[in-house]
Amino acid sequence: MDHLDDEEIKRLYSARDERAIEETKQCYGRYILSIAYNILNNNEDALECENDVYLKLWNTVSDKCSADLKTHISVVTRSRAISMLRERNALKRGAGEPENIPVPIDDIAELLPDETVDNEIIEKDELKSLINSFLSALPTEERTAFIKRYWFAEPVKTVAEEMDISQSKAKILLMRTRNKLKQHLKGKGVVI
Amino acid sequence: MKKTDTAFNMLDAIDEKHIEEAVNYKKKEKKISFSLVGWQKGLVAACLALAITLGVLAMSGVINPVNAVEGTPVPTPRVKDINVLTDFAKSGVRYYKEDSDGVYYYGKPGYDYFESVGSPSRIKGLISPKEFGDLSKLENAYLCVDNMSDYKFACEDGTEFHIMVNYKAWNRYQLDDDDKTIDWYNKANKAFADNMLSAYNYAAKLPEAAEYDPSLFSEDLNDCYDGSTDLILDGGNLVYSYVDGKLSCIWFYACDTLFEIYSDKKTDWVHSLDGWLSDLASMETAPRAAKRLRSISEASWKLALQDIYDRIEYGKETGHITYPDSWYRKDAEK
Repeated sequence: MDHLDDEEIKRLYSARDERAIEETKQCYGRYILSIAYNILNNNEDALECENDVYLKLWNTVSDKCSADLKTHISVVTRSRAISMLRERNALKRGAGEPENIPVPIDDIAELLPDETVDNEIIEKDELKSLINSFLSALPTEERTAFIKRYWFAEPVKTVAEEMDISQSKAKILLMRTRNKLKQHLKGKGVVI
Repeated sequence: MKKTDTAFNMLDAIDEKHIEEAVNYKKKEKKISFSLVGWQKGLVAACLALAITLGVLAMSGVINPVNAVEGTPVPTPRVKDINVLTDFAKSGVRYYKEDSDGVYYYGKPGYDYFESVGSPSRIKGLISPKEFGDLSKLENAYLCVDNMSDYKFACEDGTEFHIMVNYKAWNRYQLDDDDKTIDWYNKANKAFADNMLSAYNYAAKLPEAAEYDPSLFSEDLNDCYDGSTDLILDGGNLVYSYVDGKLSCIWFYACDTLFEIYSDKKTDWVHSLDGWLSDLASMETAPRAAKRLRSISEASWKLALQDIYDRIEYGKETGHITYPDSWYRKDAEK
């Protein structure tokens, strides 16, 4: 059975046609699940996240959206998964259990100033400018690997496969990009 | 604000255009294409026809694949005892020696001065048949056991070339500083340089054989591997990386820790014994290795460094190594 293309799916959302959800699930269901699972590392949570994503798409997508549908789905899925992760960890902390963050956020966090330092001075706008100027200056391959690993929380093995490079090369690429980010942050005075 | 929250916020702030690029990233397709003009097509067809004819004649025994000028069969060099080499490579044991009765055995000799601070497991990767494909086709078969100990060459014609590399290290424990020893040392270094190059040339003909296999090497080495290296030769305490037939990097490897001691990309790089020790002192990621390395006497370090310098010096003389003059003699001059 042929699937609808992205523009047709958007039109279904605009028309408030429930087939929009079915078509999205057909085309992107596995994709949504994989993003959610990489972040949440739990099947049930990933399924719950998937359902939340469909609701969010129902409320946000229309044929007026100029954004690439797959990218929009990625953003929505990640955002929901991260929120769930935070909620989950808040509950665990309340129960006295240790915090558990499966995404490779520590790799990025360790580049940042120590939490004992008052780093609230890093405003959101400043962060946005810092990270995007950094990413824009990177070669495409490095930028893509970085986003796949840290934004999508993909395992290194998956990053390597998707980019058709060896795992060792992917690891090196990521390590060097992190080092460059650290230098970039240093250059901007964020890291001393 | 916690560091992880800041990190999340930073990632959240990534522009959607970058996300879109990653979402729609397409693997680079590896295309091999060529086109021929009319006369080239004819030439290719003629060559193919000739090759097929010769192949059929050779298979049917009408002709022998001999050297047409000399009229003698073309020799096919073979390694004499490939099983031993294979077993050795699989074993992960670094030392390979032959006793006076010709019996092979593996184990740790006690003479290596790094022995006091390391263990056989510190080198997790060895040159293995897997990396070099079919060793029986290697013209000058060799087993790079350890730059601090032995090399063994076993060839089809029955000759075996068994040499002790690193005379200076040996000299300290085993050998006298006489002409014979020096002669050994020179031969060893020549063989070292020559065979490193032939090994590279061999592997370069077999792209799949030169594929880097991270499972053969430790994490340290994997961390240093940048994906552009054609071939890595693990020579024990020294690890050599080649790009386009030229030595690009040497790492010194001890106590599970890798130290870059030469890089063709660092033309102004100066490293001294003091620099090394200072680096070791500041190593936070490998405190155990640092502690153990620092426990080695300064004399031993100088001895090791001197050997490396001598080896590179020799490589330079033979043209196998190019490197900047500025850095390598610092300790030797002291």
